[in-house]
Order: sequence, then structure tokens, then C-alpha cells
Amino acid sequence: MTDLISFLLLYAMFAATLCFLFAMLFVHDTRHWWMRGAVVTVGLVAVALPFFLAPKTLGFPSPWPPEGRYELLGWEIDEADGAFYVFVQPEGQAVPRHYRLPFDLAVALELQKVTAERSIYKEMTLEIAKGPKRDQPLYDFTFERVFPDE
Amino acid sequence: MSYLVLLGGLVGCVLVILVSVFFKWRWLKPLAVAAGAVALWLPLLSQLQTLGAPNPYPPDGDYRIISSKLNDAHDMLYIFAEAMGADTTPRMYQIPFDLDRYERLTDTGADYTQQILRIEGGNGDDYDIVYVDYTPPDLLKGDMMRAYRSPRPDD
Repeated sequence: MTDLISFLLLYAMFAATLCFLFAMLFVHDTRHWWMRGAVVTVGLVAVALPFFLAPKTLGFPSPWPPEGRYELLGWEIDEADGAFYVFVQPEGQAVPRHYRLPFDLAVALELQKVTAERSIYKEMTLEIAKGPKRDQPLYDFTFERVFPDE
Repeated sequence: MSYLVLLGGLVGCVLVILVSVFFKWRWLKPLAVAAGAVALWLPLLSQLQTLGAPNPYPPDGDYRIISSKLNDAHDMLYIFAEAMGADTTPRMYQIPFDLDRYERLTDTGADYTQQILRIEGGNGDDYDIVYVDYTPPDLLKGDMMRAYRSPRPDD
């Protein structure tokens, strides 16, 4: 929540700097040195603020996962929020990604079971396909046991 | 990449407004207004591009580790964790880390039932990461009692 509030505050400051520059567009007397200085300073602040905004939302999950096959590295079940948060590695990419998937009770129970017996699985994958809405993709978890016959 | 393109576009839009303020060219004014309107949206669009990507600036604090992955080719540790005391949405962080440090860290982490990681520092990418002995707060200490156990007015 703190991240979100500081994000909103920084964005409000950014919007205020742009409003100031908009106002200066229609003020015809910018001959005073202090007014020119203020315009340049506010302009620089307007450019710099978005770079401070970026870390506020970095690391948060994306609710729009692209279709594809991923190696499943970790997950968190949030029943209250109605979501699965998954930590996945896209095939052929070095950097993992963090996605939010819609909650499903049967899948939650299966994930809970896998969490308890994690060491017996050698490969865990997640397949994401296009769903009815952009933030409601279809997905399928696959867990391959080390000893399939057990 | 598209994130940087959007931020580059933002710098361009602000420059157009500044040039318009100082040079007062009549034809540039509508362009500056359009640039300002576009500039308002560009930071939000660039934020959407970065959702799901790891944060390279983890704030100091304690984190409950959900999962982690070391990319030893790039000496980068990716941590999927929940910040203690913050909201319950997990975050993903990336920290420069080598294989030796990672093995030492996972060896010590195995001793703890609750894997709580403390991240400190970050000056020059040199993060100090240790497991801490975490005791969950006792919500029933003191005179706290369950609602159903509390005396009723007619007791």
C-alpha cells in the first residue's frame, strides 16, 4: 500500500509540473530571469520524476501473462484476493517473470498438495493460453514426478 | 526496451513544451499542447510495461522467501518474496549474487523453518543478505481474548 501511495504522490507531482508548463505556454511575459529559471527547473523535474516512479511498481505481478510455456519456479495462493501469484521462467529467456492468475479452488488444492511433497517432483511447468478476457487467461499446471510409477 | 522508448518519448514531449515556452512560435503551441497531453500518459504506459519484471532496488527490510532462482551465468539472484509488514502481494527482486554466496545462503537457510531473509545495504549493488530467526508475534498475549470468550453484559 505504501508503494501505491508514494506512486500516486509522485505521479500527482509529475502532473502538477506538466500543468505548470502548460500554464507557462499561455503566459507571454517570460522575460524575467527567475521565471525562465523556474520553467527550466520544473521542466527538469518533469523529466526526472518518471524515473523515480519506475521502482514503485517494479516487481509487482503482471495480470496479463503472455501465452506460452513456462518453467514454474514458485507460487503463492491468495484466496482472499482470488489470485495465484506465480514466479515463472519463460522458455529461452534468462530473466524470470511474475504473473497473477485467476483463482481456482481445484488448482489451489493441487498446488497445496505439491507444496507439501515438493521434493518428489522433478519438473513443474505452466502453460498459458488465451482466455475470455485479457486478465483471465486459461492455464494448466503440469507436475512431473521423479518416479512416475509411485 | 519499450519502457525506455516510452520514457525517451516523455523527454521529447517535455522538450517540445520548453521550446514552445521560450520561443513563442505560434505554430508550435498546438504541438506543445498535444505533447503535454501525451506526456501525461507516458509514465503510466511505461509502468504497465514493467509489471512482472524483477525490481533491482529491493528496499531494506525482512522478506518471507517463497522461492528463489540463481542465474549463475549472469551472477544474478531472483527472489520471489513477500515483504514483512507490507501487503500480501508478493514481489520479485533481482540482486547481484554469485554461486558461492548462494550456496552458503541456502545452507544456512535450511536451518530455519520460517525462511525470513533480511536485505540491507545496496550501495554499489553490494547487498548484505542474511537469514534471521523470526518469531511470529503472539496475538494472544496480554489480556487479549477471543470474542466468544468475552463476558456478556448479563453475566
